[in-house]
Amino acid sequence: MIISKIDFPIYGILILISIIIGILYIYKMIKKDDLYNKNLLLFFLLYIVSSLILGIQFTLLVSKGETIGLSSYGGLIGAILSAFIFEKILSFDNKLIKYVIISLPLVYSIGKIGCFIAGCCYGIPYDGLLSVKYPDRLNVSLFPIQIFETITFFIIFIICNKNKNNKNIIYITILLSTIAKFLLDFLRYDHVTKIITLNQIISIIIIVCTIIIYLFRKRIRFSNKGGI
Amino acid sequence: MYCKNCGNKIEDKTIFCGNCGTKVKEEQENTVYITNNGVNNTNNVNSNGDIKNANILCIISLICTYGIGIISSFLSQFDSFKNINTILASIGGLFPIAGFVLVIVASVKYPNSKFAKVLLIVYIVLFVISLLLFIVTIMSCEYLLRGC
Repeated sequence: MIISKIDFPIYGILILISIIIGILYIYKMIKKDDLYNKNLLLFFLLYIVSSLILGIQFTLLVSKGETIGLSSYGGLIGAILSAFIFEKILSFDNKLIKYVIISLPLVYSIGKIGCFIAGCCYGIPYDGLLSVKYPDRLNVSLFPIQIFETITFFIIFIICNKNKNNKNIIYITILLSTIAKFLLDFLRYDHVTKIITLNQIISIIIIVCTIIIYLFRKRIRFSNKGGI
Repeated sequence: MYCKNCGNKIEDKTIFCGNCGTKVKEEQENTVYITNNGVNNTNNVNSNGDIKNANILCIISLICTYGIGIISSFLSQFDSFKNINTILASIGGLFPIAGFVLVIVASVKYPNSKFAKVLLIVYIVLFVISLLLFIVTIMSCEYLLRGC
């Protein structure tokens, strides 16, 4: 499959669509639980602003101010930060962080469609079935990793949404998503020259921190029950 | 609002709770009548304290959003601070975010503050204008986008 440059900012449009779909999911869940708050619009505004700006800022930080791009981890930090501020500091609904985290695989999977069409975050050189070529970027047959990421993260979203009432769903969503990202990263073009990428290092850090936080909170809950 | 007896969620104009039957409206009216005079002065003091806190948050927000940019522009004139533009490019986006968060906290926690409300509207308008300018720039200068 050959994908030529499209004279239309399809990447930006798909990123915006993915964020809007994420917001619609969160809004639907909050309305369903009857947790509607009049400041919800402010939350969605902060969600958009912090995801976009921190997504761009993360790329600038890694490239020391030389490259502008949109990092998924920066966007993730922005989204969770906005949910944290509204839930913990402004005493918003106590399920906001949970719904934001469950929506993240959905947002990421739709954003990856934009990457596939725009020709970024491409896969390793590959000449078999479903291989794709971007003549404007790199005239080599590549693995369509973006499509696999879209499908994987959409499946993760479906699983986590079905189990959203599980008390550990936040940890499950984070672990599933970061493990998937770590493994799929081996099929990205960066691995032609590197053994391990920055994205994978961040994934490992997040996995370890999530497990530590989960064990720590489980221990506190266990010792509280024992005290009673 | 919620029933003081059983905690059931009830409409504002309801007189009796649909769950336990407790008379709700009269209780709340009596509460207002008994405590009104005593509460008035306390309300004024709380309100002044709230406005003061909101103003402090808004001023810190303005410093984060604009002050950092002004200070770094001034410092970049001197040889000892040559690298300040690189540092600003790497972490500069965090300051407007912090400013935006502070003004949101001020307007939600202290809804009586006009300063917070006006500043929030100003930030939103500026953000929309910046976003439109950014989109126009990206569309006319494609080389700015180098991957994700």
